[in-house]
Amino acid sequence: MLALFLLAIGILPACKKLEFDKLAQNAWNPNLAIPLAHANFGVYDILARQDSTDIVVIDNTTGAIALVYKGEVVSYDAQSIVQLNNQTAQSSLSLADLNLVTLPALNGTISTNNSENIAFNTNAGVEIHTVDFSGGMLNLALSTTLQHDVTAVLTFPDLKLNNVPISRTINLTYTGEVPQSGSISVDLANVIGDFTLGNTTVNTFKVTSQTTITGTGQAVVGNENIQIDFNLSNLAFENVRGYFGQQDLGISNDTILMRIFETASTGYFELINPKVKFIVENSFGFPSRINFSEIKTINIATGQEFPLSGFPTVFDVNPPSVMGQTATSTLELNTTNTPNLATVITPVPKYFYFAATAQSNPGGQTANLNFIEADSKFRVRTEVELPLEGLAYGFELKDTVPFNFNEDVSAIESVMFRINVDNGFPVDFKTQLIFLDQNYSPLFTIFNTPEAVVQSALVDNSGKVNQNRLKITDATLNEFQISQLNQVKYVLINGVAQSLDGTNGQIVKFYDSYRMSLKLGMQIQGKVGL
Amino acid sequence: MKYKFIVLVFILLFFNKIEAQKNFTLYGLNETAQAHYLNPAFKTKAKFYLSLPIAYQSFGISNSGFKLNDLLQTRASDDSLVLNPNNALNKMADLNFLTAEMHNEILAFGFKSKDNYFSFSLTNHLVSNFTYPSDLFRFAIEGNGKSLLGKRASLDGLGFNLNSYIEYAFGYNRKVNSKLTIGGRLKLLSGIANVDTRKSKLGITTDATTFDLTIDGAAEVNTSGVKPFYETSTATYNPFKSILNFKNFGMAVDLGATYELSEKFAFNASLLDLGAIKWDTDNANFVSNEVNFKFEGVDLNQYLNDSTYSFVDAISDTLTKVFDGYENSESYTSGLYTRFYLGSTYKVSKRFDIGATLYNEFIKKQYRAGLILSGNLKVNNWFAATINYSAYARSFANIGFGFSIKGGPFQWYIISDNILAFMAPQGAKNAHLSTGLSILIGPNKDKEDKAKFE
Repeated sequence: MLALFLLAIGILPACKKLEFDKLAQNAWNPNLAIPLAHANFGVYDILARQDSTDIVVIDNTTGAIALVYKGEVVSYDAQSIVQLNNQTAQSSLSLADLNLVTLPALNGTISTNNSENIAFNTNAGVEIHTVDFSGGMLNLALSTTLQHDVTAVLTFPDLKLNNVPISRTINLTYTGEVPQSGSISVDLANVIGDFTLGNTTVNTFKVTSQTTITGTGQAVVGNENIQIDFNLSNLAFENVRGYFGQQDLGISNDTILMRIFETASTGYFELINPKVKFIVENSFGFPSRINFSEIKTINIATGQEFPLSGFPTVFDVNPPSVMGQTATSTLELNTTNTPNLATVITPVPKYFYFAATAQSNPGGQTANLNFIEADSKFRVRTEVELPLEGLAYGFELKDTVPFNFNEDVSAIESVMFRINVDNGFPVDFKTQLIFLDQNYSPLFTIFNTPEAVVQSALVDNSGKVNQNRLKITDATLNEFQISQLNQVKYVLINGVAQSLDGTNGQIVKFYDSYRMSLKLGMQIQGKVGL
Repeated sequence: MKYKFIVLVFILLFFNKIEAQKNFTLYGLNETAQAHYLNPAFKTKAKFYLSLPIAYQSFGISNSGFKLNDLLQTRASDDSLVLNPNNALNKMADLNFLTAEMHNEILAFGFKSKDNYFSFSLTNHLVSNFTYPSDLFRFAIEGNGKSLLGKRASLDGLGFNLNSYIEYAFGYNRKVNSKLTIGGRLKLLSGIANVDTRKSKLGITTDATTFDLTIDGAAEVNTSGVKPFYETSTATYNPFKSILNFKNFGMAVDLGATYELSEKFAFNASLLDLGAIKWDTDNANFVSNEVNFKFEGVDLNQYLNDSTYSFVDAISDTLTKVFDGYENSESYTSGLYTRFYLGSTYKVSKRFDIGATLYNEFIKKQYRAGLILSGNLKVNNWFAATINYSAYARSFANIGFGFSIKGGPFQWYIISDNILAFMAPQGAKNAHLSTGLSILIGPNKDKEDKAKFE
């Protein structure tokens, strides 16, 4: 018992009384590790983020892919080729044509037949043989100074509706007033017109008039006549046959943005087999020809232009064999027919540019008639196809993104961002972040020199990836840098990419199965006063 | 609602006798009437005893994790006091206990009949236990970016348990022969309130490379009598009803024995609170789904492809699904905190003996033990004292002391399992105090002992 008392006495001095009035301020320094974001990117996410159609699989067996940038140069419609304008014509029948002479009084009936060929006007160079009208009006007007009753039967033997020539009758009954006049209209919808006068000419149609004059007892003075006015308006065709001449089909020049180089400033880019395709989908029933005067690439950043040489300058476009079909003609520029094609893509150009003209019937008139339908098109599309097989290095990317941060960061001592990239692409990527103030002046930098954050996957002998590689990169913001975050308004992202061992000529290939996994984490060292 | 809460607290805290459950010191002061609560083979020499209401109060609190001294330390450079949570953390075991226990005796009496001793007690018990893993504090103090990086922060076992019930105990003690005495108590229990954390698994694993957070776990918590305090629609709750209605009925037994091997050596053993309560009323049981959720941050694919994507909404929806569960009001059974003592005494002299006792308890399948070395002095029939050293709850600086004094039929005693907690609370993990007043009738005095003492 005594021993226990002694033990108690021995323990007590060790239990020094706490003096809470001496409680000093201290710091709580937790360290939090937090996952921020994760993603799993495929080729479409990385190479065709804005438009998935930028990527096509060019080999369904292997999944080999190509970047394809497309542009539609021109889409020329039928109404631009054949223009059926509003037009008028006039025919006058004299007393002689009417079998009349000067008389003090005319009684009885006199009939005569007359005919006249009328020009059917269209745009220059177009020779129309037949027109299948889908709409339009033929307005007929008859006027005369004769003081007698007149009946005129107007017939158009070459304008047929349901295979029956169009014929209209205009009756004028003398009422004591001259001139006397009358009119009538003909709807041309579904009317088929033959403008060859029996294969003897073009752009002409015939009208016949059977005129019957019934005397009213009035005189025939001698200067009377009958005038017939023809007015064609709002003409529309279903199809036209003929010869449409050598027309300019409206191509001049165009550019295609190659988005992969959009933010690139410099670098070396070499593809094994780039291609440029001009694809014409033609439902015009006549041959055409495109003449290329210039094809080049343009690096906007440097202003440099890189012209292609040796490319085929003439591209003959075939017509469809029958009306209603579309013929597709393709001109492919590749390294075989355009020797420096690979070279002009090398300096990371932003735009592909070409200048060309296109002409219909380049060989002039042939035995086959041209034809065109109302909905016929002449569409010229361009595809810059970059099969992703090759190498690249020094491929610099720059982008400035707005940044805004207005949080209280006084409790943060440091922040470490951790980037985990499990890369299945044969590409290395280094980056550097420069934090800028409102005047674009640097405040601080993450990574003084571009740091490798993505390590290229490894490839087999064919250039196909056979092993992903993981790269872990830590980027730390110290207390001073954190305190400056409120001043940061922009972040300049510098990046440099290169294909695996690209500087040594290693060829790599891209397939649609490639993926890259990204994980972004953050570790915060806090300092909270207690 | 406030009224009900106050009433419940009153019942739990301020009945006439509050007695800490462990009472290592009371185990040595076996002349008192209440010593047989710890070993039914113990008995007072009085032919009859009656425990006086409101005369005895006792409480005990124990924190196995750390002492105040571990948390607040004096800085040598300027003598100022600074928080040192890391030091407190280093003192913790993987799983720690904060236990508070109160036992309120409402009525107790006992009487001797030849070699038999009969007793009865009506007692209110409150036992609460908060179990906290050290990783809970490690996570809060260090965050997950230091020692927990790449590891699973284990919050397994985190939970709260509470057992409040009225106990009707019928005790019987008999001296079988000159060496062996046995005793037992049969207890009928009427439950008042219970919180039973049956399953508590929670882990947060931080990936050392990606910092991805994986949360795993499951929880199952049964409660009874708690619902009225958060469900305002239950306006008829009256905790007094639980004293008599036995709607939450339970049973338990205490068993004990003492054996005098020789004049010098004696052994004793007891098994306490072996039983359970079936909870039937005001139950609210919560069961969560098995959780295995990996948080990897914002899904950039979704963010880039869907302009309407909201990370907050997405994570909210996900968490709602992941941590979904259900509630029911089914009946359930909870066990009492069973414990047992094994002890021996050596009689140094007729008035002084020394003893060693091994205390054992099970809290939610967790075993804890304590070792008590005691010296017990009996001056005469009117005065006895005991002092002990105990190691318990990873605390090795506990000095217990207690004495009883008798004047006429009144016996008053005061005991503590750790008197150091009153002298230097900042260095104590365990605090305990009991004091009580009983009426003891016969024998009046021990003339022989008195003569020898004089």
